Amino acid sequence: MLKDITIGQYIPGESLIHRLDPRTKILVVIIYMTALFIINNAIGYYFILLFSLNIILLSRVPVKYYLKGLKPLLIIIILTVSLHIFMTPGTIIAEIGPLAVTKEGLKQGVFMGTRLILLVTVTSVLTLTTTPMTLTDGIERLLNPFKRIGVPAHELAMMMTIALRFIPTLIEETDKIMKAQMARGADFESGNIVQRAKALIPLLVPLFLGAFRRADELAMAMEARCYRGGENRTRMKQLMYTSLDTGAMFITIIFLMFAIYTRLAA
Amino acid sequence: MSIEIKDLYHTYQVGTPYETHALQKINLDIAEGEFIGLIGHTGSGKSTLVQHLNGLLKPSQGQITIDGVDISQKGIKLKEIRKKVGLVFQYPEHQLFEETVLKDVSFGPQNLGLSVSEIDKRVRNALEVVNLDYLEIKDQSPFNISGGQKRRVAIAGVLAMEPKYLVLDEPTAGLDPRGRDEILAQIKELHRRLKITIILVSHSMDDVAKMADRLIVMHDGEVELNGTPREVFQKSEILKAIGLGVPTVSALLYSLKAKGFEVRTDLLNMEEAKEEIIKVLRMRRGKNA
Repeated sequence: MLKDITIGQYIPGESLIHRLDPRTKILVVIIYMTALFIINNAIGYYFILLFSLNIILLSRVPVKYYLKGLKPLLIIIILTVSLHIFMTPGTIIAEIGPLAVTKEGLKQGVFMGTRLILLVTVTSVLTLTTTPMTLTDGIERLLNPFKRIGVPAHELAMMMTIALRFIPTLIEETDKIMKAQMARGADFESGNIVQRAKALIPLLVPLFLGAFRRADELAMAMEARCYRGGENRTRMKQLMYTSLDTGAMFITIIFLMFAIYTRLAA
Repeated sequence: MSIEIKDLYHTYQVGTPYETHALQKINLDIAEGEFIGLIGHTGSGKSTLVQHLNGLLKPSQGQITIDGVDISQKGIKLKEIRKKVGLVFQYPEHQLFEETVLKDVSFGPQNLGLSVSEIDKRVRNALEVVNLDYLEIKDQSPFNISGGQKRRVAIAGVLAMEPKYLVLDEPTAGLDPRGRDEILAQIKELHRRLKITIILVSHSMDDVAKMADRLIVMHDGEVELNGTPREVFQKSEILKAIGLGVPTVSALLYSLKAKGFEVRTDLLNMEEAKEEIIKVLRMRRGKNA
C-alpha cells in the first residue's frame, strides 16, 4: 500500500530531458499546458500528441512509470469523457436507453480525455526526470523576481525541500511502527470503519511524536549550522542554462505559436 | 519444535531501478531453547531476516516453518505466529503510544483476546522480568520516564505476549553502558529461567560472544558463518574481511600470538584469557631460566 506513493519519484538517467535545467523544464511545462488549452481542433491535437510522444521518448523513462502515474486518475478521466460524450447537445449518432451520444459530444469527449492524459503525462516527465531538490531549486530561482512584491521565494522552496525530503522518511517510519504494532498483534486490515479508525491510534500517536521530534532536531541542526534564511545564501551547485536549454525553449515557443495558429486558422 | 528456514530469498522493490537482493539462499535451523546471536553489518540483511520470522515480510522465494507450520503459505493465521514469535524492534520505545505504562504493556495481550485477569497477570510478570516496579510505574505516562525505562517498558510490551521465541533487534542500541548491561542481563535471565528461545541481533561482538550458544554471521544478505562462538571467532580472517572484527578478548589473544606468544586464540572470556596468558608467561620464564 505504501509502496504505491510516487510523489517525488525520480528515475535516474542521462537523457536530454534529464540534462535540461529545471527552470527550463518548469517553463516548458507551463507553456505546454497553455498550448494544450488553446488547441481546439483535430490538427492541433495531432501535433501536440506528436510533440508529447517525442518528449516521452526523449526522457528514456520506461513507459510503465507514466502509466502508473495515470492509474489513480483513471476514474476522473473516464467520468469526464463520459460526461462530455453524453451531455453535449448536437447531432445524435447513437442512443443507449435514455442516453444519447452526439457527434459533438464524442469529439469533445475524446479531446478532453486526451487533454487530461497529456497534462498528467507531461507533468510526470518533469517529476520523473528531475530530482526533487533540483526542482525546488528551479522554483526558487523562478520565483526570485517576485520577492520584491513579497513572495517568500526562499522560504517556500526550503519548506518544499524539507517536506519532500521527509516523505520517504515518514513512509519508512510508518512502515516500521506498523510492523512493530503488528508484531504486538495489532490488526490494521479487518473490522468495520470504527474499529479500523481505532486501530490507527497505535500508529498515529508514535508517528506524530516522531515527526515532532524530527522537526525539533532538524531545526536545531539547521541553527547549529547558522541557517538564517535566504539572505546572502550561496549554493554549491549553481543552476546554469546551456545551449540545450536555449534549443528546448526555442522549440517550445515555436510549438506554442503553432498551437495558436491552428486555433485561429480553424 | 523449531524454526526452519529453507532457501529463503527476499528482494526489495522488484522491477525498479532500486531493486535490491536483501536476502539470498538462507538456510537455517533454530532449535527450541537455543540462544542465538545474529551478527552483521548495517545492510547485511539481519533485520530483513528477523521480520520474516513472524510473517511481517513474505519471502520472495523459499520457506519458513515454525513448529511445523509453513508460515509462507496463504491463509495462515498470522496472529498465531506472532503470539509464538515475539519481535522487539530497534528502538522499541518509539512504538509506545498509550497514556499509561499499564495500558501500553497490555496492548499485546489484549490483541490476543485474553481475559482481564490473565492480562493483568502477564503485565505484572513482564514488568517484573525487565526489573520495573509494577506499582510504581503502572500509572505513569510512558513518555515521562527515562530512556532506559522506556526501552524496558517496550520490551515488556512484547514479553507480555509470552512468546516461545523472542527476537530482539539491537536491544541495546543507544543505551549507556549500565543500561546496556542491565538489558543484556535480563535477556540472559529470560533464557535461563523461562527457557525462551532467544535470537539476539547485534553488531557488537562483545555482547553476543558472552551470551550466545551459537552465532550466525551475515554478510551481503547471506549467511557467512554459523557455529559456536569459539568456532566463529577462530575465523578471524573472514570476520575482519567483512569488517566485523572479533571480541576484545580474542583481539588481545590474536595480537599476543602475532608477537610470538604461543597463546590459544579460542578463548572468549576475560578469566580464561588471564589464565592462559599467565600460563604462557610462566612457561617462557621456565624456558629462559
